[in-house]
Amino acid sequence: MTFLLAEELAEDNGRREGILLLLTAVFVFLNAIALSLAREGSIQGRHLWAPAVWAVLVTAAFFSLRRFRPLHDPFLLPVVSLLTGWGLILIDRLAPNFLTRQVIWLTLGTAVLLATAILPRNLRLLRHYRYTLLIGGLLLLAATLLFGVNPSGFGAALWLPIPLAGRVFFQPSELLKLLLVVFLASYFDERQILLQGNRLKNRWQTFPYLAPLLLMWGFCIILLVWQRDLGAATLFFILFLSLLYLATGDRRYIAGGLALLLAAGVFAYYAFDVVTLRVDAWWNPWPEADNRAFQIVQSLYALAAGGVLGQGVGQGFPDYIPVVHSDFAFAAIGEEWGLVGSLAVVICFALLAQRGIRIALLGKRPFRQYLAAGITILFSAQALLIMGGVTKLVPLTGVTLPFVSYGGSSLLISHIMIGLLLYLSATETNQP
Amino acid sequence: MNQPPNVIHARLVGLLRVIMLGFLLVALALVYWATVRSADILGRDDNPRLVEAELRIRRGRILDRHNQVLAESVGEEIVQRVYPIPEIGPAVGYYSFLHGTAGVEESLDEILRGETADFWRAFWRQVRHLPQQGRDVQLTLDADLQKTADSLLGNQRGAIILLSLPDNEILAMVSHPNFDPNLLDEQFDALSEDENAPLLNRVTQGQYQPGRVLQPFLLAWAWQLGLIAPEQPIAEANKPVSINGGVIRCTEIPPDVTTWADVLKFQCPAPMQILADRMGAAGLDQSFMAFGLTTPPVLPLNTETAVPEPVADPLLAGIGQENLVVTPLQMALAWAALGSDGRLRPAQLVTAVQDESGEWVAWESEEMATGETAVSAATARLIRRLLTTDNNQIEFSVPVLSGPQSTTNSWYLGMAPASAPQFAIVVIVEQSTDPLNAITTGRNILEAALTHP
Repeated sequence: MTFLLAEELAEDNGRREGILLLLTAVFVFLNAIALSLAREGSIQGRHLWAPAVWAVLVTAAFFSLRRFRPLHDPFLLPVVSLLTGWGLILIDRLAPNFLTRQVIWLTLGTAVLLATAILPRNLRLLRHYRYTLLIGGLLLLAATLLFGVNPSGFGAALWLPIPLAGRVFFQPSELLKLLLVVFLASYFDERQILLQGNRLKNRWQTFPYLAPLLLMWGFCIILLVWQRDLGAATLFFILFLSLLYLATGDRRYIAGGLALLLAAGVFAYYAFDVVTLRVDAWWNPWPEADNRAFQIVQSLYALAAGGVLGQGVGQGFPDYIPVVHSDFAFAAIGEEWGLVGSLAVVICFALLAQRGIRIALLGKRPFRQYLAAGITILFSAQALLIMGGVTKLVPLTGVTLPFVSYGGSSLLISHIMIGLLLYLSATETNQP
Repeated sequence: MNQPPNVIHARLVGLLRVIMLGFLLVALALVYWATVRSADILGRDDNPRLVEAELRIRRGRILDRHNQVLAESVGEEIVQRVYPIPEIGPAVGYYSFLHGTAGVEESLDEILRGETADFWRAFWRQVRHLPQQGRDVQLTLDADLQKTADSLLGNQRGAIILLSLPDNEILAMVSHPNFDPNLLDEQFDALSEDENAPLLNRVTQGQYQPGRVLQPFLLAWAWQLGLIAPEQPIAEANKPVSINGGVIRCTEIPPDVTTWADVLKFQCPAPMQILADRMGAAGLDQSFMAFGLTTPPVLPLNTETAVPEPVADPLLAGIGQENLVVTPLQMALAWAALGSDGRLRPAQLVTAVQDESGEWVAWESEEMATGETAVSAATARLIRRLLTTDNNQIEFSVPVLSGPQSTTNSWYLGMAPASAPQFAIVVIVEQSTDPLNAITTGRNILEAALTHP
């Protein structure tokens, strides 16, 4: 009986996922053709090969997941595929030099997504070696202090050159996101009772258990602030606070954490030029439109120029925004696909959040719940930080739009995290 | 062992609500920037899209009367304004992204840019990302005569305007020193700092002391009113008149019995002062006004100048050495009135423009199409007869003291052929005591116009 139900569910999900992926492919190819027509006046292979590779990867992922994880969530792959396909169009349009690299990273990303989702024992390994992995990640991050470079030649040195791979770089803070979420999930899982039980009576007893956690977190923050990677620092902090709230249910942690964040913000405002600049540019960009607030003002121009329906791919001027292909991909979407396009992206991330939390809700063990929730928080917070920055809701923090922006490390790690979500959604066993 | 699932479930749902609230705020912000604030943000001067759109506008062509191209926009995406005849002069002017527009490029800017009041046309153009396509205009200028006039003025500072009669179509307009509109961006700073003002259109805005060049007009006016008669003799016609420490007399010694007609022929200043005294300040002002010397002419070019003060000293005003200053254009229109039937007609510079569907339509000149009578046709004919030369032209040329530095400018007013004038010309050469330069230049241009197909 159960077996039959599962089979029916798998069949149903497969059909749903297939239709969504087909629609996604139609969207991506229509846009590739439109870009080619806008740019060359005819349909040319140079604009179609990347979507073709993308289609092969998506098809492979679809059939592999159906074969090996038939009960996986049917919305995750379509949402991620839409965002990565859209991202390829955008990179072809904004920074075609980076297209090949992005396609290679996407291929690797799809491979690790499938490996994570399909191979057994992944979770157990991650859990088991959580300290080792986290310390390894921190060491890599610390290494950027010594050997860090910025591939574009200026700006924060957040990347490590990969030996023997030519001009290929890796950003350890991206890896740290994954490791930290695994670490926190297992840590909170182990201290479940301590954090929950007799909360009111033994307030001070929880402190020794939280202390190593705070230490670890503090270490991350110090490294990041040292490196001026404020986006990642903010992200880690939000992740930590949200999981702490999930584990304890104590809203005072949130209030206290937000107060800390605000205090850190005020401190950073006076201590770091880059923060002063970004907060000033955020609060009132117009007086310095052609100077310090150039980027945000150009971004607002792009959104305004896009209007409701957008200028059409390849037909606006998002190139005026500095580093548009990574930090400001969302503004470029706003200009060329208009409000319709930018809202579609928002809906994609909202759907991703809904599916992630749903997977957490269906989770049978706290570790799985924390892991799914943590990953969801990371994606949502990162998307909100950059989308809020582009729309002048919050100061800019210099994070990428997951799946869409150019950036190999981010793409790779995001795919691993989606792989984990797929794994969690497909395996409701008591296996960790 | 585990906590009841509903506890963490409630927290997860709460978390999802917070996340969704975040996305909702982003969505609202997007709607705000893309709709509510869109128009006023895009209208800001520093919006680079305005520059991009501007650089892509395919301005219409400017053609001469024989459809020779005077200005056109070339290039694939970003277009460039090109002037095939560099000496095309101030009537065409210039278009520069950095420095703006002048001449017809300025006054017909909306047509040349192809601005449209048709909402749907503008909407479709925007949706399809078609570059704005300007409309062509055809001028009355004759490129060949323009080139001739420009080369004949040569290195002399001054201005030339050549009109066809009786419609006052401007065939050539030269202002020296000039500039090559193709090189405007590179040379703009030097041009705008040059004290010889090469960017000034001397024809429409150069203000010159008229001096005795007023004689034909004042005499025509006085004859018309019956204040004097051509055959009436006048005593002591060659009496010297001193102005600004200098002395002027008739340009040639007149006959012993000098008539008012001789006063015009020999350009005698003393009788003009007698006449001016008789006319009085009000009479002089009236005559200046009748010939349009106190109002800026109507033309699709900038013709605004400082308004001259009314006459205070009739004796000086009668020999054109008082408050009244005139532009060559004003002088040419007054001269053209004497060249036809005494009516003061507006100058014409534009013959036709394309409408939005690309059809040519005649340019409607705004007012005074038939002109107001300055003097009668008979009086105009009389002046022409008196000024007719042996070579079948009608001429009046005179050196004129100008300005406080006592520099001298030479005026030449000419018409041809004498029997029924088809062309009228005004030449002014700055800092030239000998009117011969102006005379030769003017005559040769008239000659060229008469023989030009």
